[in-house]
Parts: sequence; C-alpha cells; structure tokens
Amino acid sequence: MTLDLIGPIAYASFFLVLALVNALVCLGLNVQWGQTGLFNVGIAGFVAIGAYASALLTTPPSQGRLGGFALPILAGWLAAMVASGAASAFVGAVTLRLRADYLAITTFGVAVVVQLVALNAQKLTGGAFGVAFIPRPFDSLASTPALYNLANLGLVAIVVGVVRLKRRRRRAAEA
Amino acid sequence: MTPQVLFDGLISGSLIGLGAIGVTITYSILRFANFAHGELISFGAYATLLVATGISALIVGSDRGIGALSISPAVIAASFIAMVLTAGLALVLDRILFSRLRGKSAAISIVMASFGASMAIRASLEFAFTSRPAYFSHDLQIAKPIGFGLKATPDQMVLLVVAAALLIGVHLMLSRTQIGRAMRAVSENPALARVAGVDVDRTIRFAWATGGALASASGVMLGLLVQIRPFMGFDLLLPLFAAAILGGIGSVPGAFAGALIIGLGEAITVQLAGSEWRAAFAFLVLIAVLIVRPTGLAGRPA
Repeated sequence: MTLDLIGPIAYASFFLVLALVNALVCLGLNVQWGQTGLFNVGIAGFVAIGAYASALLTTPPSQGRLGGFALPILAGWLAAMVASGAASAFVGAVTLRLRADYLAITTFGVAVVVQLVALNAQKLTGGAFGVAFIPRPFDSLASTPALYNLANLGLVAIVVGVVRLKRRRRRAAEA
Repeated sequence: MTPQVLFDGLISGSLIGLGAIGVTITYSILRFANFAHGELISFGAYATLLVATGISALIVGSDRGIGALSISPAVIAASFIAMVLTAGLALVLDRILFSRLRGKSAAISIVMASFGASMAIRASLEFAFTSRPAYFSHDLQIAKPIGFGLKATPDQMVLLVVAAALLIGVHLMLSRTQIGRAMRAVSENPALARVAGVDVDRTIRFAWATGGALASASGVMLGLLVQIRPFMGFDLLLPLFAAAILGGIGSVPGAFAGALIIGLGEAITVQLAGSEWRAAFAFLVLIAVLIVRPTGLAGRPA
C-alpha cells in the first residue's frame, strides 16, 4: 500500500516543482506586465540567461567549453539572478525612455539573440548539446525519488512563498 | 570582402525593405508595433503557392519558367492574387482583433494581441502546410557574371527590379495621391486629420491593405530566392523592426534605406562570422539606434 502511494507522490511533486518554477517566471512577468504595463516579449530569453549563468559557474570544468568553475549551487543561483537582472536593466535603460512598443521589440530581439548564442557559441554554451553535469540540490537524496522530489518541492515552494510574502508586504506598505 | 557581398546584401535588403515599409506604415498610422507582420509575409508566400498550383493544374504549361527565369506565369499571376488575399487577411485581422482594442485599451494590449495573432497564423500555416520547406520551382538557377566581378541569377535580377518598382510606387502613392496625403495626415495627428475631413477609418484600411500587399510581395520574393516555410516571416521580424526603427518610424524611404543597411550588414556578418550569426546584426543595429538616435535616420521625435 505504501509503495503504491510513493510513486504517485514522487511523480506529482516532480510536476509541482516544474509548475512552481513556471510560477516564479510568471510572478516576475507580473511585476513587469501586470504592475507596470511593460510588455516583455522575451521573458524566456532572460530565463535562459539565468540558467546558463548558473550552469557555467556550478558545473565541473569540462574540455572544449569555457567555464565550469564548480562553485556552490547557491553561488550559481545568485549569479543567475544578477546576470538576468543586469540584462533586464540594460534593456530597460535603453528602451524605457522611449515608446512602450520599443521595449517589446527589444525584448523580442533579446530572446532571438539569446537563442542564437545558446545554439552557436559552442565554447560558452555547449551549442545544441547544452551543458551537462549541472549539480543539483539534494543530490544525495536522488536514490529515493520521492524524497528527492519532495525536497525540491519544499525548496521551490519556499522561494515562491518568499516572493509572494515580499509582494504582500509591499502592497500592505503601499496601502 | 568581395563586391558579391554587396550584391547579396542588396537582395536581402530589398526583401526586408518591402516588409519594413509595411511595418513602418502600420506603426505610424495605427501607433503600434505589429508582431504579426512577419506572418503576413509567410501567408503571402503560401497563398501564392496554393493559387499557382491551382493555375498550373488548370492551364497546362503555365508552371514553366519564363526564359532563363524559374518564375512561371502561374506564379506571377498567383502573386497578384496573393497580394489581394494578404491585404484581405490584414483587413480581417484589423476588423476582428485590432479595431476592437483601438482607443479602448492601452497601446500595449494591441501589441500583445498582434503577438497572439502572429502565433495563431504561424501555427495555422504549419498545420495546413507542415513545417517542411516548399518551393515555387525546383529549377536550378545558375548565377551568371553580370560585370564588375559580380554574379547573379536571372531571378535575382528581375526581383531587384520588381522591388525597386514597388518601392517607387509606394513612395509616389504616399507623396502624390489623395489617399497618400490622408495617410500622412493621420500619422501626424489623427484627431486633426478627422477634423480636416479625412476619412480616418478608410485611411486605416488602406494602410493595412498596403502593408499586407507589400508583405505578400516580400514573401513571394523570399520564397523564390530561398524557400517557403511557416517561420519564414517570423524569422524576418527582427530585421523588419530594426530597419523600420533605423529608418525612422513613418518614413518609407527611411525604412527602405534602413533595410538596405541591415541587408548589407547581414551579408557582411555572414562573410565574417558565419551564417548562424546573421540575425545578431539586426539586434546590434536596433540597440545602437535606440541608444544613439531613437528617432532613426529620417525620423521625427517618437
């Protein structure tokens, strides 16, 4: 009986992790579209910038590719936030004093170029094969999938919760 | 670097130019960046393909290339019909989507709507025609020397002339005719134009039709020179916007000049960095223009 339940729980928490990751992207998008009316067409491009920044810093050194600094996972995540935030800040600095559409066009351009770089700058991004051996949090639990997925779920849920809490605080402060 | 690079740039610049004129006209008259413009290009190419197939089934031999060209009478006739059909699609989009949002909601929701329309049309084309590339003709075009160390296929020569003729035609229409003056008046100030007796709705319809017809022509040219794919127009979108902004929004000669610069730069990029980096050039130009001179080469303040 217990065995029957563990499988579905592992499976459901795995998908909940993905759903919450997307929820984080949506929360970020909501700050831009929902609260300031800035139409970021290329949000996926900024997600990719963060993903690659983290992957390049945390992976072990590998031949034929730059990066691979084997840094702690947390350092990678912080660097991802900084890299993606810096890219957004640059786009904002260039476009925000102009018409609203220019931001849409420029972020679209960012998404196109990020895809180009991801696919073609093989030395940096590994090209179409991507970056392998990215260290995962809770890797020691990977042998028991249910535990591993639940741990990840807990972590992402905490991150989403912190973002939500900060927003609620800010809204309360505004009111 | 060879003069051949300049010629290749001229060809792709003309293609981008025909699309960029449509973008700049919709932008200046309707005041939004139409992300679905690329799909008008793809739609024009597929409409031409479909109609040309029908014509060559009805009239035997109409699918044979004229002289040294790979372009057949069926494709030529079909391209005119497709221009009308694409203009129609643009008008339908405006009727069922954009006109409902105009004036009522923030400008940015119209941009979002055009992004949705772009996805919907692209997906429909992919559904109807699959994502496998299609061709107007399987004839082999051989580049012949045309002097100055340049080589060109007969198709390229003819299409350059066609693009130039379309450009001159649109420019004359905007500068010399009544409807062209109305279009410029609406782009300056719609409220004032309406007071002065300009039929703004008719002018908007005309702007859509012009943009659609030119997009269709651009799609046919791209289909003849390269291939027809559901993503052909979408992949052209960044160069279109970059050209329109570089030229200065609202300026037809500016958009074409911008397109020639983009086309040339892309050809040089392909030569120096490889064809996979082609699209990066348009992005660099876009960023540079927005930083240095957001009004573009011929533009007025945004």
